[in-house]
Amino acid sequence: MKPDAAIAVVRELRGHGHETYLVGGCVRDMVMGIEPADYDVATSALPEQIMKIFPRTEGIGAQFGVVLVIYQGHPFEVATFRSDEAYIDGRRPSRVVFTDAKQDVLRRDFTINGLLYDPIEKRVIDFVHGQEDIQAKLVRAIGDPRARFEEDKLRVLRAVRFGAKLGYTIEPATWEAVRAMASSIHQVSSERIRKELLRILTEGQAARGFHMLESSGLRAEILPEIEFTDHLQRCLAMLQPGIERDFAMGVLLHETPLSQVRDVVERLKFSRAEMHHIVALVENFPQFYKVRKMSISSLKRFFRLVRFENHLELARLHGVAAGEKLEEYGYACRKHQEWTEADIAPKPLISGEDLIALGFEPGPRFKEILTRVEDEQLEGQLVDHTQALHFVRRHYGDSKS
Amino acid sequence: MKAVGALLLILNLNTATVKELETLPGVGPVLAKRIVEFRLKKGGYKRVEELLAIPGISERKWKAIREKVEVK
Repeated sequence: MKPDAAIAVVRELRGHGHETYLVGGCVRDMVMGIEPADYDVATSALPEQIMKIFPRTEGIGAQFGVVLVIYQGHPFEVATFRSDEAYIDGRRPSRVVFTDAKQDVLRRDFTINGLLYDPIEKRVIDFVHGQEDIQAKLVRAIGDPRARFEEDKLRVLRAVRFGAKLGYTIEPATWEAVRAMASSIHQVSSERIRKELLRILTEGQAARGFHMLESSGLRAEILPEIEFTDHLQRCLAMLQPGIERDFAMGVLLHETPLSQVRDVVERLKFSRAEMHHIVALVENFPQFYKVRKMSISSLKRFFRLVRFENHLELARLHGVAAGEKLEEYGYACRKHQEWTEADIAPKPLISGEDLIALGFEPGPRFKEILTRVEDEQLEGQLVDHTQALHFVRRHYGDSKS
Repeated sequence: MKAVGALLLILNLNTATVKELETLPGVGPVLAKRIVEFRLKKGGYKRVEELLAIPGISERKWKAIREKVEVK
């Protein structure tokens, strides 16, 4: 997103006499020459003053001094300069004190995220040598790494995410603290762990991220079920940025035993739909080795899996990573393209009512008969209603039987 | 029982489809499409309050839907 609206927000606050800067990831991106996805603003204005200046606002953490400002059709997080007092439960500060820009920067996690930018003077304000670390491609905690990670244990995972995604190295003292504190990650809620994990998987450089998770000991803490093999690393290396989250999890877990896959998705509290899809991906993956032996009807039923293109893609990733010839994948792809939706899931030729009309008593046999008719239809043996009725009479004979 | 289940369903703004979003009070096909387009443009919602930036979501509409959506 272009910075124009963000600059206008800064200008507006400045106009009311409040010291104001762009802050955080957006400044890092601008220094790196990347267009930021969104912009955060830090200001000396207090939340109630921010809310008075802008017509459209929503207090999103008013006690922490954060206000969401809607300006020119874009949302901006505008936060009052603050320093955090002692943290309770390893995440929430017990009390925030509104202070100045420098103190606000010093409470942040990494130097590369601790830059301020004055868009009016076009000047970067750097209290933490963040620009040097961007040059040197280093993720370095601001101040004492252990103290920073004590404040919020999730930061150990964030260090890995930034290192992976940006292609940076984690500075030695910071890395030492990540390793030393890997086991404290359990003090963080599973929702926050899941979110961070998914970002590592889906924002690019997932293989690099997992390599770092493995060597820091974090993988063993948060995903003890998986084995981080060379094969898995090759699979993760093929995940493109922006890939669907549940698909990425399916790739990550595709060689993990199914019962443990269930443990993982439950522990990380995925939504029902996501759990379903992840488990289905892992569960059905071995079927690809049988596709050439499947009957037409079985193969068509296989293709009915929800978001089948994800199942296909997993088979492809696995095959490429394993150096296989992709014969089964190729076969499945050809068939999947060859058949239309109506071929794979055609309208039933007959229904239960037809069976009743033929004089059958409703019961468990109905399903058996209807499935058999559908098989024949999928195989192309039966093409219309009349044929289907004949078939039922011929094979299931007298309705009384 | 089924109806109660449906009412309690919370939509994740980052994964909900246009069809699902249309089940929100005051959200029709046009607005639902805008919510999805905004998500694509931004690369995902960071918080539900960002919906306020979408033309057509008034304070009143916002109050009616805020308990029915989440960002995960």
